[in-house]
Amino acid sequence: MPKADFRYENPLYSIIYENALFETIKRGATVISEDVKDAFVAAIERETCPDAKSGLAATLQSMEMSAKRQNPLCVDTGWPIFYFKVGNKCELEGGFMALEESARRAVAKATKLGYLRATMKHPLTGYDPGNNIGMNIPDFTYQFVEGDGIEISYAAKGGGSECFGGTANVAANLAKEAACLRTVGSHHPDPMFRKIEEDLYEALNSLDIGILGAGGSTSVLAVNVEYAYTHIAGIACATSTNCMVARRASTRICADGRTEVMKSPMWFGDR
Amino acid sequence: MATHYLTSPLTEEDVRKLKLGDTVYISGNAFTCRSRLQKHVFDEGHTLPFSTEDRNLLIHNGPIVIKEDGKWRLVSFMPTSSIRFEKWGADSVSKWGLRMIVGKTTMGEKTAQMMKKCGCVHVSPRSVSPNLWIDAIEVEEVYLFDELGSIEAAWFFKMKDLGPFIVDIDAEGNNYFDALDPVIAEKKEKALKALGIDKDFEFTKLY
Repeated sequence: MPKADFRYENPLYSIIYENALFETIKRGATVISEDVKDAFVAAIERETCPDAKSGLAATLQSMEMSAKRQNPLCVDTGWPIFYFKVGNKCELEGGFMALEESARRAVAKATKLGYLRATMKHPLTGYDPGNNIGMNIPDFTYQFVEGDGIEISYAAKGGGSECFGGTANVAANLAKEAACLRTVGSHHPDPMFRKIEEDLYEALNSLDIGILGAGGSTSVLAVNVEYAYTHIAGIACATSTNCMVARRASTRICADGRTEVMKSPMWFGDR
Repeated sequence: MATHYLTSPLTEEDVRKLKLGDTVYISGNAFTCRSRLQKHVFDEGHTLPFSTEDRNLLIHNGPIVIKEDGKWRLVSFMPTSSIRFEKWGADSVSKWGLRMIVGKTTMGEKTAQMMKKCGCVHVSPRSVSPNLWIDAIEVEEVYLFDELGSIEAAWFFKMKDLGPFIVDIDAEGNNYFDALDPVIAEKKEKALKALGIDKDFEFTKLY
């Protein structure tokens, strides 16, 4: 956990939120939500194909057993994804970095205990850390609301279902951040990803599309690649193109009220 | 549509008699793998460290198994999408001498043709019901490939009436899902019409 070098008067203690995170993961992996259950019951009632009807019924029966047995609803326990609705006055012991660190620990614990399968791996090498923790995974999304508490939602986003009809939001978000926030001329520190950046840069500029597509040897100014650990069922890949002028600006507000103009966002550390 | 209770190792006769849409329950020996292990063997030149002769039933799956009191306990099991294995499907059938593959949905034409040639079928679940299956499976052994991670391991199962699965590729190379495609295409046309999208509608070409 990052060192808490600041103090709130009455924070939510980490032991409380870490336990809540673990229990939320466990419930998400093993207990079917009421609305989903109701939808299954209605679908079974409505289904006209006998084999499909018994398939739906068997699925519901198995899911109800999972709640009792406390085992995963499906063997694919999916991408670990957290959504936090944070009260504007919420104070967390250790701050939000500690919350994320707790979430990672809770995911690792749930994996070790068999509530989650070790499903997340490196997108290029296939390296399996065995605990579902890796670069940019788990994924966190925040919404700020009135109040002083925090709501935690955990989604176990299935691998197969992510292969159909869309791009995984993690990949899409990373692609957009790489396009809009990375400093032009910077490179990914991992040589494997730097090579992809350089290879694509050469390839794209060899096309002679040129500025405004009218021909010329400068088709792109930079290719920025970021990565996240992925599901064993597939690799979500997204591209985001930015215009050459890449408009952006960043400002740092210091605790003493001073403001500083930042040359670039430094969203990905020093790149 | 008939229902069959079969025991692995399976004979060619066992599977030649199965028809598309038939229901099967399986007993006996099986092994599991995911696509990474097939790449490891067929693309990267490694040898499978066990014989498939008395274990000619493959289940495409990465189960959740934990060790308790020195024994394996199967926590969850669900066949995974077989189409991901298509690149190595024909090789797995011919080189591993498979008679049956259990996997989600179906496989492609190359695998189907090899199944026809060798005498093998593909069967598929119609539910996501791990809890109705795990009690029918005993985990016997595991071959772990350290560099591939635990989920890519080959698990040995002993099964007792595991199912139901439907035959979606028979030993003649016919595919159950192919027959559904024109039905769905026809319904798609009607659905688009209901949405007010004309048959001759063309999206704006940007390039």
